[in-house]
Amino acid sequence: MYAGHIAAGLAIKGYTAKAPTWALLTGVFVPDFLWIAFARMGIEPTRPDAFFDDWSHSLLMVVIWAALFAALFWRLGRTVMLAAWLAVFSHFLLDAPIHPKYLALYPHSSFHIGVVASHGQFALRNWFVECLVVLILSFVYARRAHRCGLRGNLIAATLVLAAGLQLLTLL
Amino acid sequence: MNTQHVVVQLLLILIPLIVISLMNEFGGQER
Repeated sequence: MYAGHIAAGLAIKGYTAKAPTWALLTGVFVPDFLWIAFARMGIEPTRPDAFFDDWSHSLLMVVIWAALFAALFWRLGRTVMLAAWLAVFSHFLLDAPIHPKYLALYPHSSFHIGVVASHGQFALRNWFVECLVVLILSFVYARRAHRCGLRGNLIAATLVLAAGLQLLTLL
Repeated sequence: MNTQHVVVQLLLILIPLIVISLMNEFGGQER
């Protein structure tokens, strides 16, 4: 999931105008930022035969990362903290149906969550699932942003960018 | 994951993040 995470951050932004957009868009990618860092450190191998991302992507760890990330915004109030927490946690919710590997309950857990763990076989199906997610969340964002008074051309530009990013994943 | 892969991954996340944030925070209100 790529553009879907951005759309999730935007949808959350629609409901919490006070929350900085950069914070929400950073939040939705926190597990991926950690995954990149952990992969570089050798903690989470990315080789297909030894793929492991429980420290960055398991349910328990995402809840913890979300809490730590939300704590950074304590000065902005509870609403912004909740929005930041939800932004990080949305990563788990959106990844669960279409992740390369079933997501663990906690690091090294034998219990896993997910619908499809194979990208190769279901790549196109997953792409359409992501399209649907982007479409729904973009609609939520557009409606709320319009209600908050954001200029129409900026809403449209944001939606075009999100759609473009989704198309980019076809390459 | 090699350095080039890391840089591409980060750019793919950071570029839209910065562009969308700037548009939404400093783009201005309709009313």
